[in-house]
Amino acid sequence: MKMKLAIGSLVVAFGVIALITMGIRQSSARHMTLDTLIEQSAEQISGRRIQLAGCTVVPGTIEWDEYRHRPAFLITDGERQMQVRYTGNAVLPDTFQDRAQLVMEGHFVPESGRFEAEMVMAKCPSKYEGQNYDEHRDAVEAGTATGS
Amino acid sequence: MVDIGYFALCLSLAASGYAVFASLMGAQRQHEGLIRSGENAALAVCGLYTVAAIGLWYAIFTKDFQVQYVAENTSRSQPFQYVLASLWGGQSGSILFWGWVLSIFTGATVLFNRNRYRSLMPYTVAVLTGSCLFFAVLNLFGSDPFVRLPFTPQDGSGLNPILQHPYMAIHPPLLYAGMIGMTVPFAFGIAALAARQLDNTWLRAMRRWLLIPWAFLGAGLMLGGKWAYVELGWGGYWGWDPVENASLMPWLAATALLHSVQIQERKGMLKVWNMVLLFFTFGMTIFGTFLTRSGIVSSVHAFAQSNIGSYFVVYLVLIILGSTVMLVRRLPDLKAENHLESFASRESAFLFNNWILLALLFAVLWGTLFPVISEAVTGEKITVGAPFFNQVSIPMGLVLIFLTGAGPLFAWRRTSKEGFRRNFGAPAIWAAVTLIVVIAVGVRDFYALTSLTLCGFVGGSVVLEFVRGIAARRRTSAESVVVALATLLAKSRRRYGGYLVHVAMVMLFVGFTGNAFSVDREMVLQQGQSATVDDYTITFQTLAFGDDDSKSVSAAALTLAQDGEFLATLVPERHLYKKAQQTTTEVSIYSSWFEDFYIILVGFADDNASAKFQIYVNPLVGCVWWGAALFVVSSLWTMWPSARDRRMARLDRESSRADTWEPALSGAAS
Repeated sequence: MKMKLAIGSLVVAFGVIALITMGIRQSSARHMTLDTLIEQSAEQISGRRIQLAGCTVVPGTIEWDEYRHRPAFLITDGERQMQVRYTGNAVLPDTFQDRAQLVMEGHFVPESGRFEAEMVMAKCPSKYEGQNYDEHRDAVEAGTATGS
Repeated sequence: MVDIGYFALCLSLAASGYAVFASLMGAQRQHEGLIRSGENAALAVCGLYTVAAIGLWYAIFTKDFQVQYVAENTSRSQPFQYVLASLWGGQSGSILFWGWVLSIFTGATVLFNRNRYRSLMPYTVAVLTGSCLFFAVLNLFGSDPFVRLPFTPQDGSGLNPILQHPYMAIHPPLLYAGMIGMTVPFAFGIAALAARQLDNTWLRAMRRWLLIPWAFLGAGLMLGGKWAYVELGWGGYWGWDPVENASLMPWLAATALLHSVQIQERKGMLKVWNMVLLFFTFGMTIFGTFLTRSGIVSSVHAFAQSNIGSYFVVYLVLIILGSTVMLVRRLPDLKAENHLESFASRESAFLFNNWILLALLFAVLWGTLFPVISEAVTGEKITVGAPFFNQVSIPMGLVLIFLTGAGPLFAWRRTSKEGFRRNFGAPAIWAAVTLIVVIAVGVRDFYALTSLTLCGFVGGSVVLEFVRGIAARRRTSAESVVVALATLLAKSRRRYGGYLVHVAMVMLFVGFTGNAFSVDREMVLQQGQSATVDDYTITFQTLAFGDDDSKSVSAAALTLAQDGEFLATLVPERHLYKKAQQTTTEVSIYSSWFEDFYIILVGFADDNASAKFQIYVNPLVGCVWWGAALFVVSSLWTMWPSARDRRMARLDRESSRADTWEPALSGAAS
């Protein structure tokens, strides 16, 4: 019975590992930020599925198509900028707007220097918290400190 | 009120510290007075936390924007019902809420067990109040909701509009209650080890307190799905986001535990395994919270970039170390009383179910952590998306649903050839009939065929169990079928309530299978123009615009017809929230008993003459919601104490009066 159990658990373990490896091979994307993406040479990244994170929408650069479906826009990480075109089918999440933090999946097209995003996830600029008062508070407290 | 709230939080920190101390001292010295004092302190923690929560709520209600949390999470124009949700809408408030709910669970555990499990209770209380202590520390030192700004803003910035939805007012509390409630069974487990009372008494206590958060967590997961479906506008209900996964994983572990606990109760086997599984379940709730709060995996959900991750690491390490040490010390007391005799037995089926559930959990965990793991190993951060999770979870889900039906058909210990034929015959026929029917209606997808066939098998197996139960009752008494069914459900709640949960699982799987047939279309329509999708005809009538205090609305009106027959007028909308300058899509759904017609207004041309729509036809999705409802009702039914449970509870009371201190004594001596 012990032997049978061991075989059974091996079969389960093997099946699971096979499923996971296959799944990862087929749906993995390389995680990058804007600076690593720009550093890489073209042949290294063309054709690879990339998850691009750590960037925000440059305010005022969202250009919607006629039906407000697939926008083109600029993203920035504070220093660098890049053109993005959305090519997916889904309606963009409601949180997609100026300054939204983005996590995108898609491909980099070296010819145009543009990132073509098939999937865009957007976090509203200040997450759950509508607005952040930490900086205000620090500024005011610093002000009172120097004033006194 | 804000100051009172803050003060109450400080006091609850002190009270939980005292409760831990008094309970442990009381247990060690077998001092009944100290133990009671510890329990009373636990009740005080509950009261104080309630005051703290009311304090913050009061600030939210009175719109005291000088409080930073209030300014950040609520606004003057926010509708009343969502003011409530502001309590847990932000980081520090959600931690206060967490501590509060935990203190309520702690209080309930004390009140319900005043005369029960006496040798377990001091340790249970110590673990529970120790956890309260952690959350009070987290709140006071890591993320204080009562901090005041040096100035008073005119207005707050309000709760994120997409969270302003009725489901969002219920979903987080349920999910929190599920995650937090897992602390109670964990506390009983630690108590059983500490008191060296490892018979079936603690198992009964643990199981009862596990069912409650398990049901909450399940309900919370499904309501979250419903919210995503009607509010987020991508036509689906589950996206395998890390935050979703974080609450799915403890649910999977708890489901495994609920099954394997039965083997221990009946056969005295798997004692160590169950204890580990219990610790693992609780650990997953904390680990999941840590994952989503620390920002180490990127998620669309909130709470990224926070500084409280390190607190969770310390807490998690304490939990793992503490429970491992306790378990190792008691290993000699956890010897199995029986061994597995045959593969064709209920025990093996349950064991196999445990493996698959944990394998699924592991796959989800692996996928969620893959970016972190791959970066550590290869230096390159690789992420996996929804396709990965679907690919691994579908085959495992199918094995699970098969076991759902097969498990109850196996006899305990060993199933004879004859019994095998008798039990599997009818369900196999059901499965075959289902297969023929679904092929006849034109289903060709491999997974869909397998899934529906297996659902037929499980349905057959549950019906067989009910038929047998009813027949057995009718043999001994002249009951009608209905009376016999009602008595079965009322008297053997665990068994037949459990089968109802299995029926709910079948419905959920049928609903999930519907995804294989969903249709997804994108189209531009001129006003007055019609289009066909599937066998529906949709006609775009007109666009309308409106405005109120907080938002402006653009709406499209469309008529939906099927086979030339008018069905409904659909009105998908887009809302622009003025304050947040954020647009939300309001989908419009026409549900028939078989499928949903789901339409989103993507946008419209500047001259308003044409508009673009995204349309989904989702067959069988209703089964998911009905299955979810049945899951909640039947799991509640299962845990509601029956007459037999009350008798058992009385027994527990009497036995604990008889031997209150002996187990604790030996525990302290070792």
